[in-house]
Amino acid sequence: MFKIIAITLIFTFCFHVCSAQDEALSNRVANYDMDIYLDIEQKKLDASTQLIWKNISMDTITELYFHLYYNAFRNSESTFFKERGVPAWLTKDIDEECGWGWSNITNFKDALGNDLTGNMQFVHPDDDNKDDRSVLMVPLEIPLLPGQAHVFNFQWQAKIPKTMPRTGYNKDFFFFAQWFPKVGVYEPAGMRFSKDGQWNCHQYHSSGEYYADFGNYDVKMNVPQDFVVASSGELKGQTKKGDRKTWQFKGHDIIDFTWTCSPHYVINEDSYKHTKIQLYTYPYKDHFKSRYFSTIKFCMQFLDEHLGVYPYNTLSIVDPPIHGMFTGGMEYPTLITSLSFCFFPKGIKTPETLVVHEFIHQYFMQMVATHEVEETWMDEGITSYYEGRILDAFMGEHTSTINVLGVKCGNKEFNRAEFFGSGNETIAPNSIKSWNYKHGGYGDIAYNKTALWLQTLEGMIGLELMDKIMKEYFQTWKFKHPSRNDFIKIFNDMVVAELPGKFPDGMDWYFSQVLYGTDVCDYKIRSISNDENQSPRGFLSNLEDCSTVEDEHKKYKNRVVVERAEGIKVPVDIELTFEGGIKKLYNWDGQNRSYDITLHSDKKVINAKVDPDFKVMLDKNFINNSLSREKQSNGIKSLLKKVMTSLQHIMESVTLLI
Amino acid sequence: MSHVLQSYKAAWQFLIRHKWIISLLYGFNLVFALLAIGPFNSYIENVFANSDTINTLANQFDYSIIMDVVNEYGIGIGMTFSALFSYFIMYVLWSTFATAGFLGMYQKSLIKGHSKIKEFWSSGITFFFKFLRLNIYIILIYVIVIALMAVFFMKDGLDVFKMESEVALISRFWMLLFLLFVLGFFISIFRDVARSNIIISNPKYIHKTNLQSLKSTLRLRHISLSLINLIFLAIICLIFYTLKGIEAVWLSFLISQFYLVFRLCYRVVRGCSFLEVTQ
Repeated sequence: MFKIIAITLIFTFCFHVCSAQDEALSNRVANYDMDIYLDIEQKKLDASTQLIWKNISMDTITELYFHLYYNAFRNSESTFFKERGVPAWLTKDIDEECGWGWSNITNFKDALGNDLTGNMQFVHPDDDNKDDRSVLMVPLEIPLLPGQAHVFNFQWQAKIPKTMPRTGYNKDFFFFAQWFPKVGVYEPAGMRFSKDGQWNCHQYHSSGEYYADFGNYDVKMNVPQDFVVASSGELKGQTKKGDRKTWQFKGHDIIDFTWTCSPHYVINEDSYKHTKIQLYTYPYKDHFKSRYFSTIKFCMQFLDEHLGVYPYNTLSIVDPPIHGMFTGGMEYPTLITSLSFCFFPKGIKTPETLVVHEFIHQYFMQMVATHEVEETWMDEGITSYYEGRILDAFMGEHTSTINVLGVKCGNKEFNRAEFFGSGNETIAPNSIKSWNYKHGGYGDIAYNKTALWLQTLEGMIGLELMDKIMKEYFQTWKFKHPSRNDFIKIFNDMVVAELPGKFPDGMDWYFSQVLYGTDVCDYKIRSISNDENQSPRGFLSNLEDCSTVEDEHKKYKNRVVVERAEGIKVPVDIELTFEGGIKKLYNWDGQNRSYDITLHSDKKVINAKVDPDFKVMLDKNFINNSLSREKQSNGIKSLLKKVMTSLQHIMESVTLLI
Repeated sequence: MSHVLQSYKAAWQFLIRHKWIISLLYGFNLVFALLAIGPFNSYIENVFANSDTINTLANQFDYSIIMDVVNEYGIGIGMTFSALFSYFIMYVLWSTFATAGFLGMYQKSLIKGHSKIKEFWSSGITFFFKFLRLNIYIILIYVIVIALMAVFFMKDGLDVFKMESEVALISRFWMLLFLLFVLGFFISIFRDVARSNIIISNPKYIHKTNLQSLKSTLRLRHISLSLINLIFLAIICLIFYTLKGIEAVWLSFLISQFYLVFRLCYRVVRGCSFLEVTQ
């Protein structure tokens, strides 16, 4: 009886705590209250956590699963390192100074004080690697009934790894990502791909991290007094005690919490609407602040207009020092990291690219909380798509990645070239889990291929409808966990509603090719011919008159053959140019291997282009998209002149030196 | 100083009297460039002949098209560049021969007051291998200088995780680049003085004259003559870069050819003026 009363009281208390904040944006399943002590000498964290976890399912929960990500860095036998291999630079660090890290829960109690520590055990749901300790199962003494929230208290310690991918320390720079014991996601039947209720808590793999429930965080970090802390959430206060200082940050409706500290950070501030933007950088890189602020404000405005408002009051941008570059270019809730070197000229747009890319993740990963490990493309791919659009809009289509000494390249074209130059175009489909890219292609396919097929999709349905659908997708699924099926459903429903004549059956035919298939795309003009028209002749109207019907207006029989040289099938436009410059546009459904347009006309077709506006960005070869009857001698001459004069001067320059 | 200016003036007068030298140098440069571009031309025709993308590429740097060429037709690029490299080597050999030729000819004209075309060819033959050897020494000097600089540049290692910041590395880079320019300035003086001494004394072995040349490299007259020549080069470079934005294809081609002619003039005048001042 006592237990029932106690549990009811706890549940009421927890429910109150979970709802105490301003209007909740999410279901706030996992809420953390943490006290952290950073020992910079021992490179250790000493921490206590109070977790309030809400069972929003109709199932009774008998165990909790936790990510102990730092255990991925415990030794070379973890799944993380078995997949990735231990890099040479890390081996060197291990030799000089033990760079390994770990996470250890020393005491775990439920709300009634039951000690659950002894029952905890490491599990390996993905690969049965007994040496991997990145997932911990905690059996409960008191099961959580549907709708209940329980409090759990645990003490834990962590040895901070050195220069590990995206986290750890180097010199006096500390960065804490994937650092605390974090509860997995319980997926009731019907959520995403779950047939029965199940925990979704993967081991830490070499690629992909995110999948977590939303919640509120109240974190107090005790650090040396001269250290400056940047963190997810809003700064709520600082308390000095002796040579230490405690920084308190609170974050609401977020899926993770990350922080960093260093005695050298300088802080610059700006704002966009209600959001305070803070740039944490090192003094010698302070000159990048105007580049960062102008870019991020443009990006925030773009996403505000195209998807929806960024609801948080803060955004922290961290530009780590060179010895902390292992943490550069990553996304965390309300905190993103970029990377710059003090000598970067304006024409190298890496800082802009990173800050835009990582900020887009606030929408696709943080607010629309997809599963990065299981469906990487929904996180990185959609982000890469918007990265191209925003950067090209902000800095120009052909200059948004590099614009130095006449070498120019836009973001979209850079990503396209990266994909087709990778050699991994067909190595795996887009739909596999991150750790199944065993032979390469993770970045190429999850990031670049997705961006390309989204650009192609935009070309097919039009920018306006694309924006409308993506906005609908964001608004429907923000602060939830959609799967690819949810994404596809929104596209199918809206495309059928808006373009019933063009795509009456929706877009499944397209997604099945680009998501589940490994084919590439190449449409080409195979040939153009302009034969003299053969007039109809013979016994045309009866059996007595043998005649020829001349038609002066149809002097030529023009025939243009278009070929689908690769597997992917999409509808394409074909533009024909006749003598005198008249152009005509045709459309081909792109289904068969080849297609011809035969036209009887008094003028010759002199040029043909398939996909003349380069809407099909998945097309791997743009050079064969057009074909002319005559050689493009002006273009060839012009290019040769340029190359020849360059050669002449280079040759003369060599003789100048010796 | 007046001797320096006099030498510089005399070198120009010699060049004006023997304009055919420039025509010859330019002609060979053009022929080598045309030969070198042959495989590239075939390659371009093969890839682009009937595609509109060639027009885009001719008008602007287009990363997409370049990468499509590399990805789809990349196998031909390597062969094209190997061919280019072999023509580069041949051009360097020709330039060595031509430099020996016009310097020998100028030496004759300083002695006799006039010179003949055949002296260009005979001097080329006489001094070619000596100049070639000197070229190899110059290349070795550059290799040693750059290697030493690289060692200095990397003295604290290039492990980014060990660096406090990149500032020191970048400062060092700019300092070494400046030093390379300064050393390049003196190495080019040494080269011209050494060439002059080879022409003047025609030694069996060039070591002695090289040592002698090294000693006189830092003479004020050599430094000032080198500076005068560099000012001329800087002016023509500046004019060219001012006119570089012209978009008309033929006009920009002509401008770049004029620029090349002036660069060839610079080479001849520099060599001849050093020869006279070293006498």
